[in-house]
Amino acid sequence: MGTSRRFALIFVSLSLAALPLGGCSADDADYAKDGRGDDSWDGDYEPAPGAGEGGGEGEGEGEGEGEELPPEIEEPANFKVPRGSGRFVFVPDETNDAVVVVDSETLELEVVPVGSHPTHVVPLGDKNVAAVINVGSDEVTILRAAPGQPTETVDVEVRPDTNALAATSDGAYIVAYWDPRLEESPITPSTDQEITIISTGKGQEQGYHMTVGMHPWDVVFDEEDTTAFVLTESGINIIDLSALAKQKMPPIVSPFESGSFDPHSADLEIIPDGSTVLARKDGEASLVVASLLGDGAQSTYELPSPPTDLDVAPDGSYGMMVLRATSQIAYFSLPIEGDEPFEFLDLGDALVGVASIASDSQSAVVYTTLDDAQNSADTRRLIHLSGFGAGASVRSVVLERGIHSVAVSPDSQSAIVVHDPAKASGQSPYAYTLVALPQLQVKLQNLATSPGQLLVTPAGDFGFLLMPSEFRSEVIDLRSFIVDSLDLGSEPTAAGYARATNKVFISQDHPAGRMTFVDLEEGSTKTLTGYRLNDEIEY
Amino acid sequence: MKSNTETKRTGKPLFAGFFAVAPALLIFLACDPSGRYDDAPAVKTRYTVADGVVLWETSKERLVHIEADVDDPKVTQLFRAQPGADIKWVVPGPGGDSASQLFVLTVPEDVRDDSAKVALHRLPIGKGAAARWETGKTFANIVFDPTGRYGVLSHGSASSSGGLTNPGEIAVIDLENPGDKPLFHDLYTAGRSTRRFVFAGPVDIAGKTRQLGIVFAEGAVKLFDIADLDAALPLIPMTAQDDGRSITPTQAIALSQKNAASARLFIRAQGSRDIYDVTLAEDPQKEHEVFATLNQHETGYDPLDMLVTRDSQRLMLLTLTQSRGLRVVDADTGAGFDIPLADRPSRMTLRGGEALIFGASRAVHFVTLEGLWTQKGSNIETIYLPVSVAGELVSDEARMVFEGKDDSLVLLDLEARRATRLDGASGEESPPRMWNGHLYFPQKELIDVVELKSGRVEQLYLDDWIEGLSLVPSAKTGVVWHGAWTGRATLFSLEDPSRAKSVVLDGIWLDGFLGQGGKK
Repeated sequence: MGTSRRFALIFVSLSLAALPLGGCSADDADYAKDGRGDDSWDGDYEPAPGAGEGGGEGEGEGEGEGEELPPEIEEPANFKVPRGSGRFVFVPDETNDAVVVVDSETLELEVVPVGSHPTHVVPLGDKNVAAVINVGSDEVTILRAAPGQPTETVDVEVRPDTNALAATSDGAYIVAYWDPRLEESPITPSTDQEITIISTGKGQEQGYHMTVGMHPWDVVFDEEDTTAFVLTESGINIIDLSALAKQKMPPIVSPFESGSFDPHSADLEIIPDGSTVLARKDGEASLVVASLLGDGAQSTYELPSPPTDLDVAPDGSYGMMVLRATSQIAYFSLPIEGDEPFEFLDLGDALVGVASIASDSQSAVVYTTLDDAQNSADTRRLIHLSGFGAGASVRSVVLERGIHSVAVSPDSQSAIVVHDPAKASGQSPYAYTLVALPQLQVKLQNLATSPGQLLVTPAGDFGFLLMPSEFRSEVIDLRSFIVDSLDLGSEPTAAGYARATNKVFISQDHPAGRMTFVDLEEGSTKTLTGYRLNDEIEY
Repeated sequence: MKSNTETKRTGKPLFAGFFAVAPALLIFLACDPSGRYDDAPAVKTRYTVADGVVLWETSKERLVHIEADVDDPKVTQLFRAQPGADIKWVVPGPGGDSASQLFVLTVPEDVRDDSAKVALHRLPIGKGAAARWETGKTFANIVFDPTGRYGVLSHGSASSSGGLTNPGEIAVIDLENPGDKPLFHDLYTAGRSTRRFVFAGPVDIAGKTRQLGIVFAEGAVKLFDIADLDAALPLIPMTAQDDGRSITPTQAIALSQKNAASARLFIRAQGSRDIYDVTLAEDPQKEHEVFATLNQHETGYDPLDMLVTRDSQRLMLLTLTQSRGLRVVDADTGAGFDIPLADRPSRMTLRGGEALIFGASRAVHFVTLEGLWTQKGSNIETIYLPVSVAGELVSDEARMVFEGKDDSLVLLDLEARRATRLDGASGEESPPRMWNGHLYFPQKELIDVVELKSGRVEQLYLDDWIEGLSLVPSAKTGVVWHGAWTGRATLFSLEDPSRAKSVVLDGIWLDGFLGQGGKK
């Protein structure tokens, strides 16, 4: 599925642009990123996928099946979105060189001046602290909000040509780097290999500049937040966060030959303890296991067929690969040991290519994003696996339409399946299915227009599916599968969650800024509009 | 023209010159039996004042006052611009139609003439002292705060002086303590042209009562305290810097409670689909005297009208749009819903515990406000008028009068919720007036007097074409201005609108034309 995974998956969010067999967009992939510090997104990273990428976008390429899948459409990441930390929501206002800080409890707002052209905001932990990168002034501003108090700010210089941030889960460290997908128009930086790592200790904020491999595309951290891994096309740079001053060019581990690695057609998975990276390439029937401990150890394991997906359980106890050509799941315990570490689960004639492991690590769903109406029993089957290995329990249900993507709720009790756009007459243009797990009771919801981002709350009790064209959001009660509609004043662009107040916020496209807060306990809503204008009030 | 009413010459027939020109005048009168003459002295505007009517006659740059007294009418020259000066504008003082003073701005005929200054004149109607202030600039207008104490001159949207103008510049006159000069002040509008000044009256903010004035500027509103001009009140933009829309505020509603910590201001603007909701409170940072926080409520398409009201549970913002009908928003949470309305009404007004919604359509909607949030439209009563109407003409607390599209009038009794249609409204040239349960509807040479309760109509036939009708309630007198070359007005009793109880003033311009002073 992705090249790396954040290990503390809190809740799932998928961005679901309507793409022809394109599956998830880079938008979704971009925020399916741990290390970017927002737990509102799927933990699986999806790089700008190419044909045949196994992340749910288009499978089958390179397996010898001869299916030529259309190329993915790479959409610019929706990075200028609000982010929540604690009870506060931080909204970058690039035009006014400010961040609007909204208290989700009182809905009071504060306009905080920062550097030039603030773009990407990441929360630093969940304690009312966030950081924003100001691409116009090459600095990061750390904002510390407090109820009823002015927000404090600290600026730290970063390398030019950095435009993205990734933060440890505790917010102690931030990595600033270059991500080309965050640019609305193509720009070639003078270099994309210089990064800055910021230690954010209050009163001791400091940046450390380093050089990494070619074309970095992601940053992840181990479960203890002691090590940062910068994923580049040259390999994985390993950065000891406790010794930043000593590292100018952090060591690099390359599971594949440098330069031969295309992030669009391969997976890199770093296991939670940060000791090992697992890697696969499209079309190659093997799994590469490389040590990240600096001992250079690396092994390659042969497989019956090329895996189309590679996933690691959130608890780090095991991993799994989908072998589509042979309709098998290859399980392996972690740490991977021995010459034959795999247990194979045979799925018969089912066509599967993608897996999603639930956040409790106890189950997974597997499916394919290829759809064939003539063989719908094979292509539209959603399989639920409980347990591990060859003895895992297998249950399945055939859905009404082809599968575009699947999100499993954090409590593992339900899945939301977004379907492909309609191909047959008589079908609604778009649709999604709610699936109760493990019993696989399903409910189909038809949609008139293409859905946008999906947000599921950490408790797994609600899902919000944005409907941009209709200026509304579906509000899905995941306990009962009752779906309501929340009308909005403007086109919704992103959704997030404020844990401290148990509120969902939905930002909307409005010239002066608009955001709707949904109180999940009371079921009430409140909309703030014009928060950008508050910075322009003069006296 | 001979009329059966008692005809009085309002001036003293004492000028020998009058008899010299009388034959020529008679020829004019004989040639046009309608009494309308293309070359009559031009009356630019008529103003209803406390005790009568004032006419602005432009050929001689003068104001002529007709005191509305059927038994003893008086015509006086109230004001004449000095040689070398022109009257630029005339504004009745505080009180509107019952104003007891007029304000006149005069400007030099020739801007190079140093002897003539731009000046503001205060003219009392009846008792009171006249006054004059040199203003330096040719301000475009004067408005008055609700107390009537302050007059504020402003430049408006276009400079009349020529040369550079600060659009935020105002000149304030304390009418209780006028002084020799106005107080000049710069209301900072960031260079935006000002469209209109309105006053919200006394508003309590952060423990202080502000006499709040609001400037509708291009793309923003500027707040000020007329009693404390130095207080730096906010300039609130309606668009962000990178927003290219043209938005102009058109309506403002202020909410304030005595001794409250904060006040709310709701602003509707042309070009915006949002209602701007401004909270004015104490600045937590103590940097400003008043701190403004802005929120906006989406309404749908361009809102046509707006009301703010409260039921027992919430503060509600009601907006009317053609796309959604009535939109009801909880002003504190932003939650809202829409009530579709028949016939696309365009106006709303509050009437007791109801909102009255109407427009150029047949449907008039009565919306009960209590329970509106929960009933969501099931408590609306709709009355359909007998014909399609072009719009509301005039109304009072009990009745509304609409102009029918078929040359009719439609009377709507708001209490009984019943409409009556009256035929024969042939397109009035002067708006109708309402007083004491009666409608006075001028048409050509007659006034239809309609008793609104019963719909009964009586006619008062006059001898000349009606150009305008004013009602002077204090004198219970109506004043009709005709277009006669000689200058003619008819005064009639509002209580007994008959020819027997009316008087024609003829030759108003003749007396004035031949000499100075007034007529009696």
